[in-house]
Amino acid sequence: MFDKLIDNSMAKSPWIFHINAGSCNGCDIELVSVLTPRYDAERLGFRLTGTPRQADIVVVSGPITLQARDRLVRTLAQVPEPRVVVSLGSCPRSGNVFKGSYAIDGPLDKYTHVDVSVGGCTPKPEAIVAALAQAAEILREKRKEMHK
Amino acid sequence: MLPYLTKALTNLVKKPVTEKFPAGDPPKAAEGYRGRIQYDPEKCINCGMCMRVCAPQCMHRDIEKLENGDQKITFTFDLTSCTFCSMCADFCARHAITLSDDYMIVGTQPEDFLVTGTFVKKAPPPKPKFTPEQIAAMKAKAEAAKAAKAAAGGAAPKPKLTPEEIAERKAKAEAAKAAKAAAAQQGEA
Amino acid sequence: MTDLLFNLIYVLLFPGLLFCVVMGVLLAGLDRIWVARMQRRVGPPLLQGWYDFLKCCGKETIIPRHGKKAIYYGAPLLGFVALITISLFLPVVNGQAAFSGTADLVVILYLLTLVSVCMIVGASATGSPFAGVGLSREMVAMISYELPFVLVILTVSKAVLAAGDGASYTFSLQAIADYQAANGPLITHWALIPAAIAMLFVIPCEVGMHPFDVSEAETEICEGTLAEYSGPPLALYRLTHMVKMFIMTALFCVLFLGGISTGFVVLDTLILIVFCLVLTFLTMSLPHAVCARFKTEQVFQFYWTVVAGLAAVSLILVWLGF
Repeated sequence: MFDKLIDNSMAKSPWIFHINAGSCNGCDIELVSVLTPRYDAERLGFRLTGTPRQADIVVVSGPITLQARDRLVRTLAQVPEPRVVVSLGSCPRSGNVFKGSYAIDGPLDKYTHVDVSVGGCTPKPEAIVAALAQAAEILREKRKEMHK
Repeated sequence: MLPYLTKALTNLVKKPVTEKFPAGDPPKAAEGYRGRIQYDPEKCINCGMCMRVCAPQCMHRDIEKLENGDQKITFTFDLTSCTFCSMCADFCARHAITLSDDYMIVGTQPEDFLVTGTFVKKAPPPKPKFTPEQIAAMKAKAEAAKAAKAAAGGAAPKPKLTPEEIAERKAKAEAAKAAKAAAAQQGEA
Repeated sequence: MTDLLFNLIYVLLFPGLLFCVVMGVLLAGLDRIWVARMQRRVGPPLLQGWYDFLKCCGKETIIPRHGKKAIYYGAPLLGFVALITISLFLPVVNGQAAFSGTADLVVILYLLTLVSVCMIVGASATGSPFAGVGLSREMVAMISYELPFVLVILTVSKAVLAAGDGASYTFSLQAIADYQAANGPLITHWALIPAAIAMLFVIPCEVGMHPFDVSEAETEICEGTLAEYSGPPLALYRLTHMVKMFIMTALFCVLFLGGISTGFVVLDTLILIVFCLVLTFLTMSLPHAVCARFKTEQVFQFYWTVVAGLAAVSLILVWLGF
């Protein structure tokens, strides 16, 4: 019963940690706008944390630049299980216009399993909210599998 | 700090401005929003212009040769690679590509982000075959036409000017030049 | 036997663990909703704090390589127990505390300090540089609010002592409650109003609420003291934070708004809850919605000049016999 309570709370209080892996700042601004009064992700329990240790959902934006690659891998390793990785915008999935550049080493799938992706350059905040809600559900499923 | 305080207290009794979105339907995008690509294979002529202008190279084209010489062409648009710049739609001569206002590009699988379309391009009709006699006849016809043209061209010689006429024209041109220079000097003065 | 049973009820149920946790979650949830409404947002559900606690319980705990395991787990537990202990000294049942002594105000002062010290010790046990910055800021915040807090307590005890019958009553919360039951709430005493205002300022800094949360600045120093905490210890820290909101507001009620008693425990508790809600709104939600976070030195300056000044004025007035 206690496990079930925890599972349900998992989906109700997912905390977000945002990694900027060389993003142009467009997606970052849209992610912050999700917490503004108009979209208010806090009513779904979302909270932007400052440390990967407390995160449940890791949001990655930007093509993985060589400078950001090692930091990205180290930060992802610090997030405790269960965790969900969300790729924000076109860049982490493909490299977007920087595809084939000597300065990037993407896509994100090379380093971790991407659970939910949001397309768009940049995505609309509604799309981000929908993706985060989907990520919260995946979080609950992952937690269920953990204690099975 | 006082204006903020009064603002906060008045906001307390007002209704929140938050959209209801995850509960209801997603709101409509703004006019001219560039969202999910829509591709109409019926209109496409496989000119490849979209692939040339696409900065992130998000299109992929598969050409499969069929037995009767036709080509089966499949265009794939990868939306995780697209910048939604609308260049492909602008350059498409047949308006086969349009950008819709659907911004809900959310998914868990790579397949959720692919837009594909397939059409069959008919091979050109086969060249007509001629017998040697027909070819000889056609050649003879062409020769005859050429000869007739040459004869007509020789009959009309070019008109020639007399030396007096040439001198007259030269004088006229010099006078015009002098007048122009004088006008320019006056203008400067 | 019955004594033991009553003590167990005191510790685990009524003024102890359960009541504190329920009140803490309620106050924290309402605070978040009020802040959201003041920013014209919908805000999280009322039980959001409880969901956060449960979720953190279900997460994996990662102890840093240079961390000390015993302190990493022990510090949050000790801090939480110390906080629950404070509730047993508050005279909320029929104007009677579960445990009372001659100097329980001093004990409360020490226990409140112990909660902050546990946070500092736990943060230092993780060995993270962010936690290092956070704990140094937490220490500065502690020094900032301790001076006005002690001045306020001195003022209250002096006021009671001046009217009371002996020196033995000085630092006893029970004596203060008895005095207020006989003479009306202390806040009606005009010389004590500056001290009450100073105490209102002490509450948010002691709890670590938004404009004064220099030690947990999430954007600047990665949650500061909590930078390396995850899983159940983090859940305990979050719960400590929520319960602290109730303890501090209840302490204000006991010090300045005591003596309003109907004789029924349930009604008295309801009155206490209403006072706590009003105080939470005034001291935590309103500054949170209106102010941006202070710098560390601004917090120090503000508390040692304005707040300590208010408390000192009150102390001098009481000392002069007004």
